[in-house]
Amino acid sequence: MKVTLERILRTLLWVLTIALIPGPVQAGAMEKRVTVGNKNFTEQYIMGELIKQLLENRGFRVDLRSDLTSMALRGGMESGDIDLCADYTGTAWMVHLKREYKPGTDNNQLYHLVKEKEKGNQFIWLHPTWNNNTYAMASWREFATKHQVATLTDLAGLYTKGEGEIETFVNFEFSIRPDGLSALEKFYGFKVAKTTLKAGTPGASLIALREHKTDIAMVFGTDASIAKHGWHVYADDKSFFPPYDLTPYVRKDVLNKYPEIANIINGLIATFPGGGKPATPVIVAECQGIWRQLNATVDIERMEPKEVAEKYLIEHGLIKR
Amino acid sequence: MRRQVILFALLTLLLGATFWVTSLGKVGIYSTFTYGDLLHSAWAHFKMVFIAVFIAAAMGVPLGILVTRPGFSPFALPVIGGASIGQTIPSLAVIAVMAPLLGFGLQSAVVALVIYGLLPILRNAYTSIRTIDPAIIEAAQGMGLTRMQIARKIELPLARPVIMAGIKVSTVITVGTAELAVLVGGEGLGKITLTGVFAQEPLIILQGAAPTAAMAITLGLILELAERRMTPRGLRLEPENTLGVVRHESNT
Repeated sequence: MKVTLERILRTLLWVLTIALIPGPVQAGAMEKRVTVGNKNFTEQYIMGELIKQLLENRGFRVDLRSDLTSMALRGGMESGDIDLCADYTGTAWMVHLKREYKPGTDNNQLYHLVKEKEKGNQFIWLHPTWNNNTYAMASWREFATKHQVATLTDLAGLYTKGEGEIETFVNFEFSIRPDGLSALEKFYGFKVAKTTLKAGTPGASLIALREHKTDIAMVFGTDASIAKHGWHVYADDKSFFPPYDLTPYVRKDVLNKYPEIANIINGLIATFPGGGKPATPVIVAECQGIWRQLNATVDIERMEPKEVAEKYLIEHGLIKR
Repeated sequence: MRRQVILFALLTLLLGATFWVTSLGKVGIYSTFTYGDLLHSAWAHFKMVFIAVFIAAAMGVPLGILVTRPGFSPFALPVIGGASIGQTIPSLAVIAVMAPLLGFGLQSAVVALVIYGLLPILRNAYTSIRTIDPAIIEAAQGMGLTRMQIARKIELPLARPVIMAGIKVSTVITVGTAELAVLVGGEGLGKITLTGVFAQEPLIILQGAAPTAAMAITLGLILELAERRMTPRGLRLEPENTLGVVRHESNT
């Protein structure tokens, strides 16, 4: 038989046709596929992996889109490129729903407000973890002891008395957020002198505090460094900062197609303190502690979020080794 | 002339944009920076650029001229080459490397900016002397001028505009690079721009970037004027008017 170019091409075409057709037709119809998204910081990497591995264990084929900016993740959820993710109640209320936060609204109230309003956007919010990864101000314990300050009210007094001698380090974004520095100053009645105020990239404030380059640093509630260094976090005694509780939410059309997702994910949430039940200050503190530890396994012990998630799911009996 | 008109129009546009965003007070959920913030940052930015260019000029001009002297000419290649290497490293890397070395703060930013701004000054200072027509020097020697007199009366005046051009280029570059200084604890307009970047809010980015560009254009124009004035009268292509404003483009 003579091997001609035409023969080779024809064979190739057949091979391609056969290879391409059955794939989508056979597998696609049966397979349960979802796309999970997560943002670009430690806690989100862990949560993304938790959801992914759990759903995979329950027979889903999961496509994980990791490392997204907050806006990209929300954009993906809105366009349908992403089916479910976990976001914060405070972020949803102020950034996505563009509502004003009334100081004093507690974790439970804010969750229910968000859940209610998000129904209109065809998003179903599942049970929250009460980890309150909100903004907070922290310092070394020695500083708090030396100046005898414990709450933000105390700290405001110190700022007023100190007259621009307290070095302060915040995130770039924090200086212009509606729940950021200027609103905080107004609410507690103090002013950070411009000359002592520094702003940096995410995480820079933690490094500055660790290296004693600043007295006060903006931190997040579940930052691993807080536990590691035993930093003092100033109590928000007048409830200025909105709650930021990490909560999974799903597109409604996806949930209609795969209603079992709600139970599977709520089962994961149930492993956290107060999971599925209303929040109390004790529950919030416990849950924050759990997440600080989880974040520490990645940020300090340098484990992969994937391993951390797997270990967590096994320990809580959600998947088997 | 036409170029200046375009630059002034651009300047108006940039400042207009800055004032517009600032007057909005709020974009999306974010509040814009106030005029106070803007002035504070712009002043800090200018100070940092001024210090950095001043140091770069104080080092670059004497060094650039020195290596043109007969005794020092073997050093010309290593010196210019060294400065070139300084400029090939990405500005972000230069600035980022400084923080661990010199600590967080203005000093790191300034050292990084000096390293980055040195080359145009050094190279122009060197070239300015080297490109003087040897016939002119010979004529001066023929007239009986001493070497000192030749340097003072012939070489330096001829070199001045080229040296100034180097300082101008360096200044304009440094205004832009100084945006990054905020990453190592410096202050300046970069704080506003980067806040916009991290808040993902284009108008806040504009609020920082537009005044930075305006500052670069303004300083560029001022130094261009200085460059003209330093050109020996005999070498100017067109006369100046009484106000000292150049009417026509020279080809420098």
